[in-house]
Amino acid sequence: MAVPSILLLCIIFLSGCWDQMNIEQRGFVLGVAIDAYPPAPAKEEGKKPGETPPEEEMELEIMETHTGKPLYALTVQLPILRKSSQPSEGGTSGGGGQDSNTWDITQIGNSIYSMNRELLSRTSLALYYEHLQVIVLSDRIARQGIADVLDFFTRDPEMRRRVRVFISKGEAKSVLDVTPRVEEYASMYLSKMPINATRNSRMVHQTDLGEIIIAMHNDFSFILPVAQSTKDEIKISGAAAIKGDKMVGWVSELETEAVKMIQNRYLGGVVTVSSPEKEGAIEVLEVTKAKTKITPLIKNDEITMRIKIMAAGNYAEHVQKGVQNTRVDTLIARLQQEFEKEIAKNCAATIEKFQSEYKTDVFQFCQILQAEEPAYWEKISGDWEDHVFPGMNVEIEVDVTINLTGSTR
Amino acid sequence: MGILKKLFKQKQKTPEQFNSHAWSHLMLSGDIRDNISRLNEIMNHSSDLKSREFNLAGSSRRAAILFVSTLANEDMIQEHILKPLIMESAVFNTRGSMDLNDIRNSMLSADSIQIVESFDDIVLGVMAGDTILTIQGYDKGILIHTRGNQGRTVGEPATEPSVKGPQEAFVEILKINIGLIRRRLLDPNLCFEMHKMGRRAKADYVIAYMKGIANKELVSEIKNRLSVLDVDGQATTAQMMRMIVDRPNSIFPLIQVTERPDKVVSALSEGRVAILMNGNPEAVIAPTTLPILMHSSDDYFENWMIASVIRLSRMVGVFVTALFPALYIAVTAFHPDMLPINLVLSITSSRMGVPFPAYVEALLMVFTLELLQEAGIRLPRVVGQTVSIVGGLVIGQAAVSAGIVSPLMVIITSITAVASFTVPDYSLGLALRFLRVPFMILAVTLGSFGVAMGMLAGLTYLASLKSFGLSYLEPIGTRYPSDWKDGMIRGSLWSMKKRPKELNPEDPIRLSKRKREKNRE
Repeated sequence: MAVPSILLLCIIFLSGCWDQMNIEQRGFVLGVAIDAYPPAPAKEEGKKPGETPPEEEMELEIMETHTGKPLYALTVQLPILRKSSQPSEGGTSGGGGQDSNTWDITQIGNSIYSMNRELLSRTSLALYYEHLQVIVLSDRIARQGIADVLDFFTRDPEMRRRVRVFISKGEAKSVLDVTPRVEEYASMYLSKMPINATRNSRMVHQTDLGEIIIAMHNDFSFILPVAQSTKDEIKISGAAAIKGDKMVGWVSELETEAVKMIQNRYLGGVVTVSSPEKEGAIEVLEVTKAKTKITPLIKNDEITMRIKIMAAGNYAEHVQKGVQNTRVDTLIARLQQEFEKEIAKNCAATIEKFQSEYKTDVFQFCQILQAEEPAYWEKISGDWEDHVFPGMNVEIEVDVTINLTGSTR
Repeated sequence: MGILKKLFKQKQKTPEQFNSHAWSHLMLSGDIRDNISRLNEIMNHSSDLKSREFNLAGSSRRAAILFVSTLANEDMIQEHILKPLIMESAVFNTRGSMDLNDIRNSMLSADSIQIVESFDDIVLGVMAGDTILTIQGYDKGILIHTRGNQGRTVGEPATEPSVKGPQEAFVEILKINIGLIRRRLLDPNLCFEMHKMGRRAKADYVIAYMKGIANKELVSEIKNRLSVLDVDGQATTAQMMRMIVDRPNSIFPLIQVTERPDKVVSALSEGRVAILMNGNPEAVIAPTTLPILMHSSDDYFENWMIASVIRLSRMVGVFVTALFPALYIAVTAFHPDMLPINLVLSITSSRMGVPFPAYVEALLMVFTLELLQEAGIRLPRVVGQTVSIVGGLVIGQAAVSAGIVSPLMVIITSITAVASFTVPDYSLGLALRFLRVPFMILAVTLGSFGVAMGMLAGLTYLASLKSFGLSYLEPIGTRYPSDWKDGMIRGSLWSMKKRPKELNPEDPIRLSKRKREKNRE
């Protein structure tokens, strides 16, 4: 009895504790921003000449490397936690949140992993990425290729698949540097915004690390949300189209809406048309449900994508030019037609742009083709995005149903 | 070594001395003086042993009674022994002569008497409060039942309170306790087998069971185990029973100790066995299982769905009591990734500036909690309030604002304390409180992996436990699925048509529906 119990104690006390670290010694990285290094000089000077970091700080930020030149500037966001057990002094809580709640440390180097370890020489906290919320990549990085920088985040076991990835217009670090009004940390602010995708479809949702890995490994093109920032505000404005792992161009908000609708990822949003009844008036449809069915039709090696969109929604607003009486029987039917036309027009224009300008199949039509016409796909798969997709015909059929007309008639 | 051996030898001798009392084979003689002085001698001239000599029924025949005045009911002695023997019977006694049978049959008005010859019986009886009547010329005496039932009146259960249901608790007098049970179970098959326990001080105890329901093997097993015990005299029933359980060293209670007669009654009618001992305000029920210890009598007064939810929440309380501080340590020191980010940040900021690591903090608070609980029991009721004020306010609030512990730790500790009070069985609650510390050590060293391993080991141990042959975790498990109705949940009363199968009762049916008489007019 004595021997087994001593052995048991040995197991517990000799093999235990190896990864113990108290919670207050851990630095939970909330967000990561990756910029290209060196920064584009012309843009930097033209925009904000005073904002370039002073010399001493730059010295801290650049690390020695084994090989190669520094390529990236990695910024990690750590929360600054204040002792909560003490009652807060009057000034700090009502002070308008002028001082930031976060510490954004930038490190310049050429591999994310080594930069991450180099950061440990500048903070007393051990960095942990378990609670990482967002990764923001600058558009320059995105144009160079996101696979290079995302490799660390996909490979490291500390990461979660649900980390959201954003592309920033301009410097990525400035997105994290935002001091949000409501949320405490910019990363949380940014990561929570796609919750609103059920009411605003101009934002891309479901773009977490896992989705991106799947898309990149299948060689699909996709869109990533774009984050734009001011001092205290972030806006998700449209998207960036990624082909392979490189960004090919911006996608406007209306186009984002169309892409989501065609991809059957539309959760709800708004469509506006000018009134068929009254000159200059605007009619607004709140789309509550949209379902898209795509069928590829192949005739003589010519593909036609038949896209059937069924949208249902409520008549939400009538703007300008007096009272609208929705009791008129024909009005709803005519409005439905107008909305159908508008949606079809927007979708067609968007597909056209991606066909001609970007030659990028962010709609992932290829996936449908692969599933439904495997023989044909075999033939054209090598040539899909460059030749076949741009020459593809599209038939769009939209069916809008207005369910409710609101509290007033 | 030699000295030790000598000591041991001496010690081993002592029991024999007590077993062969000098008086154990002595018999009464015909001389009352002789008898009185002999009994006085045996009882070491104890000051409370009283004797009274008198002339029997107006005749010249001498008689004497002896009793322990502190135990016997003196009113009864006067009314039912002295008065009839000296005065009243003189009126009827026309023959002039009488024998022992006459006295027994027509002169004593006491309700329970017994003819005795040996001092063995006499001493035991007198020490329990009986009175011995010895008459000149007869070498037999009459032991008259005059035990006084002085003691507490039946009160409310203090340690097992319930909202509804009977509010009576056992008292220290065995006779009253048996009455409390008997009153609730008017069944001639309810057996109370009286036994005596103890080498020096003899204590009465009864084994209560329902003949025809309780398994015969179980009853004889308990009797056998109790008969093996040869002890000086057992102070409490629980002590006695703890010595004969299957694993005396287990921290989990393998017997159920209760002060509620209604619990005993329901246990008896399920086919279990109860043991009550004189001088103990509690009954011991055997065998018992972990789920049974989690039952409260309140469960049976409510709708079965409500009772089941309450019972399940009590089960949660068990885990919280034993594991909550350990899980706190494991999560904060090893796996903060298991919590949502906002919680992590608030825990972190609450731990800012706390000088100790989480486990020291947790051990500190758990230790403080134990001290407070112990102090709450020990303190006289008058100053009891001080503990709650000092404990709750001063230690809780002040420790946080002094920065010694984090506010979250105070919450964890209080939740643990509250949860530990939901366990209905006090001994089980103590066992769970005891388990807290090993789980915390596992959490410190191995994180939640350690806690999981600890739970696994604990579960294995629990599964290996047996209470008088019954698996401790019954009816959890697949052996008796029909018993699930009254295990972790409480099924509807109509569904519990059979007694628990795990007890192997001789009469399995306890409930059935009578056919309604249709042609009743």
